[in-house]
Amino acid sequence: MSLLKIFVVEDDLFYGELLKRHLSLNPDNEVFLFKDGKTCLENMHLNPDVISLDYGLPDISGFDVMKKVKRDYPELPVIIVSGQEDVKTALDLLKAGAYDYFIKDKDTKDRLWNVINKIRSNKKLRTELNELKEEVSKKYAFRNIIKGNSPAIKKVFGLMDKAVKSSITISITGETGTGKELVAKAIHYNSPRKKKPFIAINVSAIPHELIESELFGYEKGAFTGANARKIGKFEQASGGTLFLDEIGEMDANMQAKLLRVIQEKEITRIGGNQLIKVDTRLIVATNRDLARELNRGMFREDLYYRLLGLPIELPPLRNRGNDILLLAKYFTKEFCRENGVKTKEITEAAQNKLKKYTYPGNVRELRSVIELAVVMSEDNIIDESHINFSASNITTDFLLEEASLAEYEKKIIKYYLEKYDNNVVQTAKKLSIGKSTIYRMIKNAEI
Amino acid sequence: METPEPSRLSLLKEYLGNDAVQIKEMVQLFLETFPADLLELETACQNHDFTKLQKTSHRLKSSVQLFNIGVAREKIVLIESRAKSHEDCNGIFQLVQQFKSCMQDEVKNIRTELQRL
Repeated sequence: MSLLKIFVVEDDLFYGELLKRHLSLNPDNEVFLFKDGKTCLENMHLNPDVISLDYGLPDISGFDVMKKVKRDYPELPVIIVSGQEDVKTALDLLKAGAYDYFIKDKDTKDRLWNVINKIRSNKKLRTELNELKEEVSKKYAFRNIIKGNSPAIKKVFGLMDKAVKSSITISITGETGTGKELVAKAIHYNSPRKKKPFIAINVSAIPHELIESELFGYEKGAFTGANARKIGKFEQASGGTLFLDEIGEMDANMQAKLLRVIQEKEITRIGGNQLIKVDTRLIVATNRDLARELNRGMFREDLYYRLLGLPIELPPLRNRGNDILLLAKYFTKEFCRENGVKTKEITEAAQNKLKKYTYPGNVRELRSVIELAVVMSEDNIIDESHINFSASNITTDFLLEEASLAEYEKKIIKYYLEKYDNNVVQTAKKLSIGKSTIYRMIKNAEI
Repeated sequence: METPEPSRLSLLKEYLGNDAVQIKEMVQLFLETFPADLLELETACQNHDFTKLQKTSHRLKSSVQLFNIGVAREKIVLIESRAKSHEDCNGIFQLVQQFKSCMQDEVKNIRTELQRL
């Protein structure tokens, strides 16, 4: 671990030198001694990790030195070591951001030693946290999370590039399984907000009566069961990004409250009366056509235009051409690696089958199909028989037959006749066609 | 039974991990700088410079404390407090003289303890 750089600012040469030597007993400390505030401020380029600052300095007061330091380095811990025993001074310094305040007495040595050790632990944790954040950022590099070379997906990359460079609200649309949340995360982790939280919430997954408390939080005693204050998602994501998935499911009452927050950039916790400023970037997503919801009166017009921001439409997998095979090969490699087996090859026939399918579940569905294929194939080859689309996709299988309209009509009528025990009246009613049509088909042995 | 007088160097030993070389160096530093501080105190008193008096006494307070010199610390705290409230300089001057005399004795004690290290 790197050395902890400590500035000791003390006008009493003897006392300062003693503190320096004492703190240097730990070889992980690198201690610098300055006799006044000016010299300390001139050496801030050395990037100290902590400053031990005497309150009564000869040139600038410890208070002013601390204020100047805090203005440029707000996170830097400043410990005041002072001969002043005035409680008000101590309180003022702590309020102004001092990390701790010690009176120079017999316990100063141990207090300083302990607090420096605490700062060292915090620095270690902060370093680890930053490393993890960097790893997450790399993980969410556009090309690492969204695979594809198709023109449709390249257009998405172009929009994402624009999205990361500003704080504009992003509205992502796309069918289920197209990766809306991944795109939102990628935008956040590639934006200047990446070191602050990314909070995701699925509006449709939360009962309407609870969504307000989830988003804005509540104060203790706001309602029965509110035993403690709860910080809402907007506050949690302040400085970062809040991803509201399935925004089209939000009810009218909540839409009005959301609009107000977007306009005023402030929230009030339920049961509270304090306005809390928030700096939260919004990314919303929906698989509904919000413009249509707008026309139906189900979505507020003012909110719609507020949320629209930079729209990113994720293309369905079936419109991404060769990306299907590119993704299939990528998933195959990933699953083989996870299972500790040699990478399997996808046969020509299997590739054709993959290309023909329409993927209503999009990339998510392809991923599942490949995962199953990797498990089912026993040698190093994934062939046609290993590619199985789920039963719920029977409709698309049906459409893949590419029959004529007349043929499809016959199939449908036959299906319903079987379903309703050859009851022509019921079948005709169900399909909104005339009984005579069905009788004629039966008579002509068409069905 | 009377409580024995604490060692003048016990706190320094704690601060410096009982390192004799470092203790000697620190005592040497104190002995080199202290006369100038004392002179500054006297001059400030003669010049009725309460600000200087207050700052110098404030600075000396922690050093004196580090040598466990209780009596001298009481005097220097009093000097600081009187200088802060701009009390009569004659009274402060007498306190400075008492402090000086006390410290001259204590410096001898410190040197003796240092030789025993």
